[in-house]
Amino acid sequence: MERKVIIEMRNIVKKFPGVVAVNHVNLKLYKGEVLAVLGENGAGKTTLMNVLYGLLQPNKGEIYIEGKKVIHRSPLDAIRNGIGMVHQHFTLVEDLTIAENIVLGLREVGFFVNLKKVAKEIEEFADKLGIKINPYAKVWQLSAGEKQKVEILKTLFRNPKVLILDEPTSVLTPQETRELFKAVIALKQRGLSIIFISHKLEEVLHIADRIMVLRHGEVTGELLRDEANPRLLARLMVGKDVFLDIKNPSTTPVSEVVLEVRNLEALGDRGNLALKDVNIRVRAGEILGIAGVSGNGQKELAETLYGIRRPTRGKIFFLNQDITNSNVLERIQLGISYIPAERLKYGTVGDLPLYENVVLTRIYDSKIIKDFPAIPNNLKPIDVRVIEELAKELITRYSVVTPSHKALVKNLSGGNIQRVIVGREIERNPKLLIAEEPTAGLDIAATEFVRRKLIELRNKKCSVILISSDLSEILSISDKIAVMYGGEIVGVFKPGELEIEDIGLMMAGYSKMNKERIEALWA
Amino acid sequence: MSLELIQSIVGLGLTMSAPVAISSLGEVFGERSGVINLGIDGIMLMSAFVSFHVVFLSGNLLLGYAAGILTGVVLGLLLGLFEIILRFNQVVAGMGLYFLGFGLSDFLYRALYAGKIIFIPKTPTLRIPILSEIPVIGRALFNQYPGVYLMFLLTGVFWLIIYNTRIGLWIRALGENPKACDVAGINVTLYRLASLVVSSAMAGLAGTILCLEITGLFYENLTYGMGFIAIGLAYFGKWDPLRSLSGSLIFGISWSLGISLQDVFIKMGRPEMTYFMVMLPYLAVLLSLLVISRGARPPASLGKPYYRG
Repeated sequence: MERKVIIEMRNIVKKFPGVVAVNHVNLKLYKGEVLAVLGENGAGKTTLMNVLYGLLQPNKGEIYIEGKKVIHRSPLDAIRNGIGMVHQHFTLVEDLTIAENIVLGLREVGFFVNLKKVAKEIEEFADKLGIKINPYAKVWQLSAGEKQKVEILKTLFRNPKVLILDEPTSVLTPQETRELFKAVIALKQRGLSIIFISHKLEEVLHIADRIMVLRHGEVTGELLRDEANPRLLARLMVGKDVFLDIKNPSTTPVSEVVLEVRNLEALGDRGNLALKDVNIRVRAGEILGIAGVSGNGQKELAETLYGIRRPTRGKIFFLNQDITNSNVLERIQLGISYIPAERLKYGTVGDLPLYENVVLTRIYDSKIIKDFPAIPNNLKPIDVRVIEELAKELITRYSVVTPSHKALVKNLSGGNIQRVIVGREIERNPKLLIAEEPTAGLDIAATEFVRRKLIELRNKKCSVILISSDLSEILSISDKIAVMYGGEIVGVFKPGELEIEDIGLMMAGYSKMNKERIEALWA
Repeated sequence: MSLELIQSIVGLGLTMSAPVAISSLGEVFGERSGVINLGIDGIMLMSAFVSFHVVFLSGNLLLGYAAGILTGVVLGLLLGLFEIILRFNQVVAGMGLYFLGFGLSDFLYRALYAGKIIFIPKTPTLRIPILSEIPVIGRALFNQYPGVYLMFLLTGVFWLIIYNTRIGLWIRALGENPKACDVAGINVTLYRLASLVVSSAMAGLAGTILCLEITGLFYENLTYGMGFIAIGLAYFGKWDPLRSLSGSLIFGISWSLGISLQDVFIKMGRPEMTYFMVMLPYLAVLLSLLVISRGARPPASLGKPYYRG
């Protein structure tokens, strides 16, 4: 059967300083199909789509829409040619209402905007798609899943021929993901052509009619859904055979309690109650996974435990010592380590060289300062040779790829920055490590490396709190799992005790274990 | 205090509010789109000089207004080149423009007029028939310079544009999240440039009003930092035209109050207090700024140049 080609990209090349992000890629999208573009982070998927959407200009190559050659100098050109794109990172104006955000992209509203009329149209349009929204709600009040719906609504409201979804499920619960997939299939049946970008094998296998795999900017495979299987796709994506799961022989002996949190409450950045009556108990040699959709208090929990956010109520005990009012330095000296989610913002100082970043959290350490009598510790000069040695050692032991130990951290890749942070925190021999989204945005090799290090640390009797919105990560390496929703711990269980569906319901706030059961599981 | 005195304080206060209010309105508009214009005071000085010069040569007041506004537009385009197209640091670029306007206006004044005080014909007040007959408020409100009417008119127009039109929505969104605008097909560079030029044109108009309606002459640093007060009032008003207008009125009224009190102190034989009274409007604005702008949240990407990708 001859099917109609709606988009053809021929020989696209896009170079950035030092890298070829997209290298002679050809892409064909047929009418009414779902084409998945699969690849690791940095494989060039988003770059390719940004070229199609007019955000980037290719160095070489042509784009044809329904057989006609087009040049997309800006998103406006792409929009006019019927292309709609939902970006991986939300492109919503937080301070505006849903309706205002949708009107932003409309050209036919006239000089004076009749917001009431448009809002009503939007509501009706959403209704038809089975989405319930209040067009007057401000975007910052919405959950990640709701924002995603607004993004899609915003794009569909312009009635595009082609819909590009860039990693649309990264912030969704399993239920929301399933809803999204249903919507995608419904849209396909209405004749919309869809490009679905993802690095998740299961998703791609679930939703796609055809799959195109990218690696290092080149197409490594193009196959129909029925020809694909997880192992084959993973090999095409990574370039070698990979083990899709890390085996984690969990032991969890009954050991001493390292961290005990009682009735903890703290405020969020907007003054809202971000943590509500949180109780946690972590033992030595245990990985406690905290699951949940991001934005449900996980960040505030990590910050409160590390001492950069003040609790408004409750107590924190570390090895039976009350540390509720201790500052960060005291907690570091007691043996608490923290891997923050935002690597460049809170984890490192990008404009400092690697070797100085390696000692950022151990400035109190007498090993790295020169001994001068009669000068207070804080004023003693740092022994540069010692910290350079420490850095070189870390580079070898944690396989950091860097031109030298003097390279600025901001010039390293995400995976290598994370190796520096993980190395720095583990080398301090902590008794408790708080790891917040430690593998977000990393490629498979770096992800595997970080997870393995966490397990090694656990096996050395350190306690680990793993906060992650990647449920499969939590399930694969945790000894115990707590689910957070709306600032509360809504469930505690061991891996294998609950079905994914039940966990998803808790993550979405539909169900909750009762207090006694949670209390019993902490014991 | 007699009714007449109050009327004259309010009347003069409104007159003095106009240049501050109009330049502040421009700053609000520019900052709403995410662009800081710290050059306001320099633009005001330059426009004041150009309008002075044009009126001196031609004797035509309307030509003076046009030249003053045009000066603002040209300087706005210059600032836009650095801030938006070349993506320089906006604070540095704005301060640079301030010093350019300050220095160049003074240089030209000395070069062309040898620094002598020269009076030019001032714009007359416009008495609005009937309305100016209203008892108590009529005289202060409706027998005013064109700048005062423009101040109220433009505040309304800007308010309407910012909150009720498509362009206004774009401007507000640009200041918060330019990326969202870019992917919605809005030309970020063009609209930011446009709003910066509007902001500079307003500063140009404000400088012209100051020279042609209030002083009727030019000398070094004619504005006395009024442009910086206008920037402060954008924060005071939390980037809302109506609120920033109220701040400008506080400035204008305390200025004219200070003038009236100067007379009182001179009569009391305490002439040194007059300097304190000159400070009064600045002090009043500074204090109300400190109180009111606490916790004011600027547009999220204010001062941040936009890079694609």
